[in-house]
Amino acid sequence: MSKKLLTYLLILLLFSCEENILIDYPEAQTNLVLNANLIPGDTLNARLGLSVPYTNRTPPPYIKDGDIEVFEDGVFIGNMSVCKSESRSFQSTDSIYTYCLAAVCDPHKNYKLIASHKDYPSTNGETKSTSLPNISNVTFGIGPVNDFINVPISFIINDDPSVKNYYFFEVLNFDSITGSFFDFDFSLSTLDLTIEMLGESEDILEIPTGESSGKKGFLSDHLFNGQQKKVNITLQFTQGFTNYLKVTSCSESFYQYSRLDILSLIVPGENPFSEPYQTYSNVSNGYGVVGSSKDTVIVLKN
Amino acid sequence: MPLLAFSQQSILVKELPLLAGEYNSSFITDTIENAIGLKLSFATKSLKNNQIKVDSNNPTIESLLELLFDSKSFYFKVKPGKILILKKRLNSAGHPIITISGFVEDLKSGERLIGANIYIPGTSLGTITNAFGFYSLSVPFTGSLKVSADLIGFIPSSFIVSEAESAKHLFALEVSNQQLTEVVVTAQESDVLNTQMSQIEINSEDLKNLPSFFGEVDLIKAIQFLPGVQATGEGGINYIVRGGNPDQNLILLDGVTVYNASHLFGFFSVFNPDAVKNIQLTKGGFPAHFGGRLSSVLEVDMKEGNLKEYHGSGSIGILAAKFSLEGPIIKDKTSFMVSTRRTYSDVLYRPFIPEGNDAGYYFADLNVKLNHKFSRKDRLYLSFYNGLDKAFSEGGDVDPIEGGLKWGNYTSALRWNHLFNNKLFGNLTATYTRYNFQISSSATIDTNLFDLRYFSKIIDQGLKYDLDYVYSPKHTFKGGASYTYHNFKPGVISINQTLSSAIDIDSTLNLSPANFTHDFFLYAEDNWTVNNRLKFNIGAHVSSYLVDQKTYFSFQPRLAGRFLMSENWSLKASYVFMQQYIHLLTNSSIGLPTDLWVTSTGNVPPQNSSQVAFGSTHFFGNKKWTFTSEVYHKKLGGLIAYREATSFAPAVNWETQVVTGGTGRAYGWENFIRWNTKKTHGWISYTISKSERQFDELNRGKIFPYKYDRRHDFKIVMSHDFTPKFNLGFTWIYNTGIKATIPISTYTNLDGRTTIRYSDRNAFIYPAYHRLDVSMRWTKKTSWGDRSWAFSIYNVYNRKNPFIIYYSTSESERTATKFSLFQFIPSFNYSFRF
Repeated sequence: MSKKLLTYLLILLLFSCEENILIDYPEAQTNLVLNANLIPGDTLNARLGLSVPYTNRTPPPYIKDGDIEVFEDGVFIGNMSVCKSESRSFQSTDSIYTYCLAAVCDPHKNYKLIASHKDYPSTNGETKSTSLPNISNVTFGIGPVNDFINVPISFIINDDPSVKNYYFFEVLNFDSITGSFFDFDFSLSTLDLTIEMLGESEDILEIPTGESSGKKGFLSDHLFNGQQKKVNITLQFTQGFTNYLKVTSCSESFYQYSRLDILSLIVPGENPFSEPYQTYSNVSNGYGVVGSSKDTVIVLKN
Repeated sequence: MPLLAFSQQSILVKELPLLAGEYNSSFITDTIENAIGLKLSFATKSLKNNQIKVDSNNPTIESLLELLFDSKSFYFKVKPGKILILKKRLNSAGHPIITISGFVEDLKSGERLIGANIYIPGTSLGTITNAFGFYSLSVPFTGSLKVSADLIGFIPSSFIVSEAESAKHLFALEVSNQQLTEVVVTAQESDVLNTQMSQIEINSEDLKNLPSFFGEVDLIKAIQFLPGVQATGEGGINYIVRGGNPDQNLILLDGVTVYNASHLFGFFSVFNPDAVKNIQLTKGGFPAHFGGRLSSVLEVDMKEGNLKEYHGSGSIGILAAKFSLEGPIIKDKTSFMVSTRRTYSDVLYRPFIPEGNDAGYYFADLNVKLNHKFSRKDRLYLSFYNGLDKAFSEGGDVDPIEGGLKWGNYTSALRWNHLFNNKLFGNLTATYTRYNFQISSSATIDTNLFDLRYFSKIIDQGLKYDLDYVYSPKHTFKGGASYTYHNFKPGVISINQTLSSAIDIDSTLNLSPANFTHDFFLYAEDNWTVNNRLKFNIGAHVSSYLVDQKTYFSFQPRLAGRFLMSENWSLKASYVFMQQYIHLLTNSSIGLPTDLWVTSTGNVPPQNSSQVAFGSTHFFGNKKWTFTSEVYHKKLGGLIAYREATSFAPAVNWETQVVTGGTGRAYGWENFIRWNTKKTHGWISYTISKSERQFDELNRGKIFPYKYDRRHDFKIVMSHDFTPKFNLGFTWIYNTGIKATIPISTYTNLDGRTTIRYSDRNAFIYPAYHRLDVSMRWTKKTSWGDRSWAFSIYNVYNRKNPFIIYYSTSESERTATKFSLFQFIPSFNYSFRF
């Protein structure tokens, strides 16, 4: 009883130390949000939405009465309009609107998207489109695969010296019983740093094992500089599933966005002492990202 | 000794049976040697001429020596068995140079006094005593010389040098009672005379009238009231100096590094005021003997122990009790000081805890110091500190899980002073310091035991030698060398499992690699007096650091200058370059014990800084007031910080959690008025400053304000003795709020997830911080000593200062909520001294 009394007194004391205050922060206004992942070989798609001040808990909405102009290598190629998209990157629903342009994204072109709306300041984003990653010599383990056995995977990335290509890779397995994919954990959100610590001059990039929380292995462009590099990784596999290696080549904006987005998934609760992560955006006067990516998926067999 | 000297020297006035006439010089020297049985020791080239002319019969030995040697250039010293013919050291005006040296000590206790001024009144000639109370001053002898010694809180003393010979003198200063005597020192002459700038000293006696926090006066909280020094959080003891990081402050207890100076999660410092003699903070213009940190050096000197009589003191507050005892082991030769402190909140609330359970928190300190005088030339000091914080919980039979958190420092130093001669003083220091932090959790279910522990540790062992050498009135040298062996264990988990039905597990896992590093430095500095007005301190600190098969090397020039505008006013300037090989990983505003000290490694390079400062020091009102104004500009490099969205995670290698290569810039203008009148003393300080950081991987690479970039910082500290029995003190602080990163909006990202958009890093400014504290102290003399009652109020007008701002949520909105930690806290303390 006395312990409870002490606890109540303590809570009362602490709550008496609280006071609501008004944070008058000028940037907390509503802005346009422009998101686009331009995939070489697919039609050009984007989404337009609005940001919501943090004090308001309403979910941020998509909008359908905006306008998006598209420029390819500086030449205007058309306006996007709301469409029923079946694109891998943007599938439309009743409340999620996708803007489309009936033009195919070409590799290694510069695309600029300008979004406007009558009630909000115009916004724009720009990216260089990427191309299919050039992967070779994929190897997966040696001998029989038992439950939870460490199996080495390796592959070679042949970087194109003429363009800046960033990469990330994922290893997935498919559970045919539940029909779901499972992502393998890699070595942290800070994996790119870990690799840089290994030395850029190395021909082989050994992905460390042991500490895992991130789902993607990030490989910055400057690790390659047009060279061929072998990536080695060892993961614990369970027998009976189909395993896949997915390697994505992307623009710098997409790479930076993906890297930092990982952090939003691993932020350890609301630790008031932890510095928050800053989302990546290459959209001027608004939020979102205009990027480009292209992936290749390889079935892992030993 | 003077009598003996006189009888020896009196031989020189002895007359020799010699007639007036011309003689060969060798005949004269032989005659002298035969007559008194002493040999003349001289170089042949020192003789004036081969032939000398004696004008009168029966000349004295001294007159003959003056005929043989030029008395303007030589003087004669009688030693056992010989007379030395020595060349006089003359200044440009032809005056002989003499050296006055010795020690300054407290008359009552025999304790050596640090930082006392030794000077020739009416001139700009002077020095201050070193960390062991030693001084040595070379001056031209222009006639009878008065040499004075003073120190704030003591009655000045002086003596006369009447002969052109070097002299040794022990100043024994008496503690002044400002109520009873007019002769008190109100300002440190050295504040104006010295080249050293950006340095402030506080005597432990000054602290006793400051308002307390939960009944405890804290040394580090007192220095947070100085200009350029800011607390990082409400009630905390972590501090930043001139826009630097908290880890850039070196804290030395009797010359030994203290890594975590905090108790009670950072709300109290480890320094027990009863055990402390003196504290000195240096914020810039670091002389070459300082190194290893970029922003400040806080030197805390423990009391040595009274050599003459026994004394004790103690106190009881609402949080802690303490007791100290000091006295001679062998009178005037060996003394001791013991001081201990413990909190007792765990004992007080134990009756409220259900039977079978136990939980609590306490901290405790023990300070011990011994000192022994072997001779006038040799003295040994042994000091020791051990502190512990412990939080624990034991569930008893109901809940079989036990857990705990404990951390603590252990420091020890052995120092041997040796006076080689009146110009050369040496000190050998051997040190050992250890900091431990441990989280433990264990459970016993039936006969199965599971025990998990996480701990981090730093152990340093070091050896250092320092020399002070007075070469001439114009040049005083310091030099030394130091070696420290560091052992960093930043994160170790030990698992112990004993199962009745399975194999036992006992393993230790090093999450971050342990680092064993070698830290070596050399330094040399010259205090160069160019003329009466201009003085420089020129030096260099050279360090090397070996870690992970990699050696870092650094050459750090140091330069400080002083120009005396008048007896009461000097202008000063300094430039320093510093390098630091260790880092503190912290992301909290208070000093959590989880803050991790880590070493520079092959991947994480050292941090460095360069600082330029200009200042003016002026005495006013018969030296009762001192006004100091300084501007500074500091550049920082090689900084590290936690990556975004990370914080202390014991299960992860720290090197993967940080970003490196950060830079910073801090500049500001500090103003400080200090007064010390008969009944009132205190100070006012105002600082305007700015501090910024830049990391390629933080804040999208853009420059951002440092979290503790407070533009305005204003403080008043005042204490007034209304009567000899009653003192009233108050402190008031106002500063601009700290900076924070806040969420400003939400939006849907490329993957369709709602994302929080944060402001630029540290773009939001917290509401301003201000607070008034008051203290009242009644002191009563008794037959056995004195006792006093102190009553303090922390945050008198109940200001709700923000500690953290967070968002509380309702169904439709979020509201920013300010959490304040300490409001209106009265406290009481009873203390006694005998």
